[in-house]
Amino acid sequence: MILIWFLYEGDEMIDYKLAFLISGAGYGINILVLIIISVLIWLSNLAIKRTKKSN
Amino acid sequence: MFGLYESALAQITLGNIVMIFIGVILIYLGIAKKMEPLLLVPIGFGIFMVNLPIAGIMTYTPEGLPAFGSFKEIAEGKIGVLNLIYYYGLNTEIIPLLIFLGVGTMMDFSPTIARPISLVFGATAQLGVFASFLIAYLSGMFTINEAACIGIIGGSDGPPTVYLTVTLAPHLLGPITMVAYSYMALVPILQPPVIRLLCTQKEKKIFMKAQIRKASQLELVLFPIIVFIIAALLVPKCAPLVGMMMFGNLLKVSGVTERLAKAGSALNDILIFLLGICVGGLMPAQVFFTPRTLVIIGLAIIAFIFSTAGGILSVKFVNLFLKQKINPIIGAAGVSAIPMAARVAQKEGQRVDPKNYLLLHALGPNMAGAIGTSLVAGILMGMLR
Repeated sequence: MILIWFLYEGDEMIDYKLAFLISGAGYGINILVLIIISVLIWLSNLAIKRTKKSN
Repeated sequence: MFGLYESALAQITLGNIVMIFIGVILIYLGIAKKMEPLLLVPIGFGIFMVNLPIAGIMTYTPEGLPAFGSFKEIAEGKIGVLNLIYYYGLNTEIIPLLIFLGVGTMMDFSPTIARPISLVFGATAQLGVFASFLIAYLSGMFTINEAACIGIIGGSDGPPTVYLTVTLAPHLLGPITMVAYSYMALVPILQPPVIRLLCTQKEKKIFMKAQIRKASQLELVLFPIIVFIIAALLVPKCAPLVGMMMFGNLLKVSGVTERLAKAGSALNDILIFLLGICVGGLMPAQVFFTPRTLVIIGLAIIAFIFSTAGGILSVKFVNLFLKQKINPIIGAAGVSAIPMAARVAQKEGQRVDPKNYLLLHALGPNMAGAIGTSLVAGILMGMLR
């Protein structure tokens, strides 16, 4: 793989800033969304448990 | 007289022969080793179909994409039957979406509901997607869109990989899908060394009860609704994928739509063989044999390693704040590959303590990984499309 990379002449301009932005922001958003969902699921579980107890 | 009869033998190239050999290997892995047989067998046969010259089962444009036409063009021999399946099934993105609907009807999110933090492990296990995206793009060999499609292999989930690749880099659909599905079958080989490297003996011994809390009917029904609403609101581009999966799951858990849920899983089987044979059809020698394909194969390993590491490290981090520690091995199951990755976690746990049953705990991050990969596909699509 490394050999192919050395031999390969890329014709694309690499935008380092954009690449790091996409990977950083993408990973961050993904974690954030799933944290929000997990908190909501946890809260709904809690609410269901309390309702059951009070009943 | 010989003009009346045309043989393909004279036109077969060395590349075709190698591709047919690859097809044989995939079929062998599927049938003899039972590695993802539902996909590897159709993919392998699809490779045969397009690497036998003159057969014309799939024809290509000079750019290497399947040619487009209708039944009339099939009758005239300008395109093949796989061209139609590709255009009406894959190019419209309907096959991966309907497969996700079928997947949803078969998924049981109880382990994820029992431990909601599993969702976070499923998210952090997407690290490989972004790591291999960065490496692929910074190597200069791939455009940013191509790099994103290579990265998503690290999510180790088929439908999001196909969905994103059809949108961003359809010319790479063949190699990317083949690599993704083959590596999913290789999870039991790729993951254990990373788990052994990152988990100490003490961590691997963390005992977890064999049973998990059973989720109530209401929790099961609320889960797909909450996931879909939040995911679609925050990452609208993932709505088709997550929506289909959650809809399918709602059909399963509602308790009143069993017939629809059964139909969904049957539909899944039909679509999987269409997908498989079509993906195989995207691998004629002239398209597949490029140095970039070999690099994709290498980058996919990196993606799997980083994804496994991301899941494990996130459990270790969460353990810093927990009284009752979680065995970090289950983080490795955050790379989707359901249920293979969860089984790997179970096996690795039992190597150290045979009484430690991690399977049910690992299924939580495993299921969450499927949601995570769909989210990532939506995020990348939103950023790059």
